[in-house]
Amino acid sequence: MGQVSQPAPADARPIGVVRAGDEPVSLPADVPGPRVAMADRPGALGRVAVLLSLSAVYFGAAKLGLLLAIVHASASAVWPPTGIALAGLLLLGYGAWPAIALGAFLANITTHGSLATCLAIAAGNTLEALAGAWLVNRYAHGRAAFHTGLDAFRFTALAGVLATTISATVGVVSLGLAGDAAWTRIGSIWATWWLGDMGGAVVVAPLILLWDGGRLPDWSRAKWIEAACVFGVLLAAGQGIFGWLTPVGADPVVLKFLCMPILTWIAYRFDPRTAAVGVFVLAAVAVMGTVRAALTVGSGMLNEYLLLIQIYLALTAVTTLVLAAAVHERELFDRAMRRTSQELTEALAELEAFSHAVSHDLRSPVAAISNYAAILEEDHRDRLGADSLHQLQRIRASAKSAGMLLDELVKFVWAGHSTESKLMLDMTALAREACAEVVVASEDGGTVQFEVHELPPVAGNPQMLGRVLHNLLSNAVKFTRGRERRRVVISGRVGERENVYAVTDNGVGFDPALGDGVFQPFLRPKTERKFAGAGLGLAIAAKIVRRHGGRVGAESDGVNGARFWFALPNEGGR
Amino acid sequence: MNLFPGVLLVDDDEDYLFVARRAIERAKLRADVRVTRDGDEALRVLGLKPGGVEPAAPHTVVVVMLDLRMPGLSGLDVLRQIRASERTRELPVVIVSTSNQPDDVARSYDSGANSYVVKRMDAESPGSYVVDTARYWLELNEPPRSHAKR
Repeated sequence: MGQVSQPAPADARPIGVVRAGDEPVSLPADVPGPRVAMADRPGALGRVAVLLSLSAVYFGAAKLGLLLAIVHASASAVWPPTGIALAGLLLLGYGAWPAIALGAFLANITTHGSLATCLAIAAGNTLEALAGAWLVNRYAHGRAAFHTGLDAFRFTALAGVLATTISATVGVVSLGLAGDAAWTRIGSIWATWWLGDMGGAVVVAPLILLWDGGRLPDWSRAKWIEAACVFGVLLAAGQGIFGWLTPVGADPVVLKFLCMPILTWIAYRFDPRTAAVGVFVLAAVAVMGTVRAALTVGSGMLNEYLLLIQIYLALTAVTTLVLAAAVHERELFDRAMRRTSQELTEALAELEAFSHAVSHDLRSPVAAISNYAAILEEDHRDRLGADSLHQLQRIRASAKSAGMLLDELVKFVWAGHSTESKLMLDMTALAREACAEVVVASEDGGTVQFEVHELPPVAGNPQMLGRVLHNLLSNAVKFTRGRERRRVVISGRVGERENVYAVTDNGVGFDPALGDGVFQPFLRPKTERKFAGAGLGLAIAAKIVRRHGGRVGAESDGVNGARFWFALPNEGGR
Repeated sequence: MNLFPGVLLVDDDEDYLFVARRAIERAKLRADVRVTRDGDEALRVLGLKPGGVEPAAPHTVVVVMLDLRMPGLSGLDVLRQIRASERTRELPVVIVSTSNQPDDVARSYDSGANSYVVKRMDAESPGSYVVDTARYWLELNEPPRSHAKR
């Protein structure tokens, strides 16, 4: 039993976007699987019945193809059995090869040739199908080959162009060796054989692979009407071009291209399955029309016509099927993206609700701890020893820092929520305000020398960008604590696409290895425990800047201060 | 009946109520503090809903200090009902909440709050912010119509 890509579980993600390489691929849940053929396999007897049916179908198609065997009784320019055999092995596994061999042998032996040549031809046909199926399984995701554009290309190249040379070569050489064909004509017989097989592979195999399982599409009424219309147009165009119903005059070569937009329409508006039907319908009317035309003007040129038609059909088929697969792939991708986006939105809402609850529900008990500790201290100060008083103060300090952390958490979750209300901002004024706030808020801000340069204006939310400056300045004040001549410089410059604002201090700096990691939430190096703070100030600043479409960065040599900067887009108040 | 102007505390957090009442007592604020633990009871005290508790005499409640999240009626529900009644339309209502979330603040003002105070713990003396807030509305604020203040 051969390796066939197994259907994915029903809940598998429709990644559909298949990578190169040979890992098994997760198929979308709606990929038609070999349900009838494999999953519901009714045991050995049933399997024999399935294989015999395959032989019969192969036999019938081969007899049909051999009706058009003109250049040699065993070589036809129209050879649907190649597609049937290929699809059969892809769906049923390599073990189904005897069915192909049997069908091919019977079709040939009942038409023309010796036992030896018929056996050789059957062997060639079977080998072609085995090689094609193996290549497609190995490189084009097997029966799912028409679900991505790249795989559809690979299918065409490997099974349509490459594997078909086997049957043509084996068949033609055996005819030559048996003296059944003149060596001088071997070339044209080979070309006919090869092109006929190629047409079968790219027209018939996709149809079977994509329709395996047989479910009708669950289209809306309007979609069915559209499908009926477009197929009607295709059949009408087929009549106009190929004259499959009634003869048309001169061979209108240019008109043949008219079918392309119709098939493109099908590929674009429908799905790979419908596109495969479109290609098959075009092939049928083209062959019927060509045969009819040849019969009226004489059959001398029929093989040449059929070969041209095969080339035309092969090119049309690959273009249409690749386009349909690419469209399908994009649809699956869009669907996955929409789902991911919805999941993210839900997750975000949950996260916000969670932080809401945590910040509210935790604040009350934390406040109670702090308050009761303060009350104990107030009411029983005289009766408590120094140790107990100290411990009470520790309780209050811990509660206070827990409270601050909760405050910061809320700010972090809410940072950047209202960036839609943007104004042109005087950043110099905003920076001066932030300096004043920081000086008031910190115990020793007065000992810091602030230097605010002229800053370019920018579009933004005033509260939010004020907070960015506030947090960067607080950070600078915090980390210059204990340094001589504490100095913080706020500077800015206009760039080509963005304005850059920087807060530079002469504090202790940070470990250069941290890099932009300093903007991550809760990052507070252990060595810096003496500096109070929840570790969210820079993260909040970074989040706000990013919500404004900007970037943040930080530099330090770990000794001589640090420079924190943020850049905001300056395209005229976007 | 206490003749002091009334402060109505509406909150289900016993710890907060304990700290707030203790602070008001210690500050010797000249106020009649009434406490209700849910929104329905608050509306009854204000005479906006019948039954249950003894309602405050008309015009004696000078300020309502209202929590947002309570079992039953939320603070915003209570606030909207206060604003919907002709008699209490201009009664000062201060939201006192643990939440400092911008949307809570915005919704409170949109619903007609006069002020929004975040419950805090960093005061030198616990609950002093409750005293400060009450004092402002009792002693400094001039209400739009004289009937709101005794």
